[in-house]
Amino acid sequence: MGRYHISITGSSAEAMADLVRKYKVHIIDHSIRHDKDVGHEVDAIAQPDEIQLLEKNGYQIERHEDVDEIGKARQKEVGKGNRYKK
Amino acid sequence: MPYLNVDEVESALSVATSAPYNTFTELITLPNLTWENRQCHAIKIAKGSNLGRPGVYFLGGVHAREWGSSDILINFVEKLEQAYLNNTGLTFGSKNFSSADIKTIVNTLDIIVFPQANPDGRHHSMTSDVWWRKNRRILPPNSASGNPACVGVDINRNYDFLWDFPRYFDPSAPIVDSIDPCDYQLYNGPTAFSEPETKNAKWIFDNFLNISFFIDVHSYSEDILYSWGDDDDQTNDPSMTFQNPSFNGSHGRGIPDASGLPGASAYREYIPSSDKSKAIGLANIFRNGIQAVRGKTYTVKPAVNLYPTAGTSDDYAYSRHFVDSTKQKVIAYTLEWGTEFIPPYTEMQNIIQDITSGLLAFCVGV
Repeated sequence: MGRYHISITGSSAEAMADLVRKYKVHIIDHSIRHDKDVGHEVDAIAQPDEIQLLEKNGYQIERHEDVDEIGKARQKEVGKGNRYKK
Repeated sequence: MPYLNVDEVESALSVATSAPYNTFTELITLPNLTWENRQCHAIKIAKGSNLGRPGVYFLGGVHAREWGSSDILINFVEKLEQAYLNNTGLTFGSKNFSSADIKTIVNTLDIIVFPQANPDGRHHSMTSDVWWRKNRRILPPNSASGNPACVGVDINRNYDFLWDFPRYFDPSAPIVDSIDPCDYQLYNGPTAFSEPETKNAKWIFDNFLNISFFIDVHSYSEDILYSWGDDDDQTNDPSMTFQNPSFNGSHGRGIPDASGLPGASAYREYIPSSDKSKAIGLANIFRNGIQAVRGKTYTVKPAVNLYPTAGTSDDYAYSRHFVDSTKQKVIAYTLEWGTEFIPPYTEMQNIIQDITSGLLAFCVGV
């Protein structure tokens, strides 16, 4: 099951607190932002079943990239060997 | 140029402390091997040893998946050393550092850089689970359960600052921390400083007594965070502090109201106004050094947000002189660079330039 980078919007600060207290979502805590029109929003990494649960409980979810796919691509950008060895 | 692998970060430190740089650098061997028996090193860059010069400590590579932190700090070391050796300045975008600035940094400060605090985790992230965050502790209580999440401790929840968070925080506080050994991200460990990685980071504070400034380099969110992270701060009541047991159980209640402002809190952590001013002033210099490169605007703010923390490096560093008044006061920060944990390396190279400029500006401003 893939994991996705998502943005979660909740109806209140209490709802956002519940992401941690109740739903144990892997939020990226310093990504939290607040807009008076949109409300609170925070980024997270979540699996499809977690996303479904959050949507069922009134959260708005914007699904971004499949982080496992992205991760595989990034691992190809790691140095091979040792460029500092003469 | 790809991201540095684990061996390359260590080799870079070895090269950075060899001739011709060895007249003003020192390789520091950290005393605790990691769970996978890796030896860690830091570097001290300093010409001369006049008394009273402040120490500046940069830590990176704590969270495994935040690869760029180690690359940033290695680049900082290399650029600073080359410029000092060649008696030149440095330019990043529209930000210039004169050769006199470079000399001032190396001749009047002790710069200590520990760029790869968690090599086991970094290796795991680079070769297996890319989004791994913790270290690779496999001893009990993280016993073999078949669940890969039951490995590791979040190093940045393992410092001795309100480490035993259920005792200190309000039960309703949405704290980003965990006592569950199978928490994928946040397990705080069996005791404070249980982990070789945190012991190594602490050892540097304990052995370089002039350290007065500390930046723990993380990603992401483009923020420069100053203490405190456990709750909102206040500057008026020195008795309202983490050391006062009458406030146990009341940390972290300050959930923002509908406007996004901090709500009524039973507790706010004390910071003297002079420290807060100093922390913000230096953070602004750091931010301006970043911004001058290509216009990225980082936000200077307290570490706490809707989600409080405990056991983190920045709060531990700043708390040390409150706990033991013989210890040096350390103005401490967490940097959260970038807008994703692992950017494509082409973008990471831009971020490396941004943050190297910011760190140099910070050093000049100290």
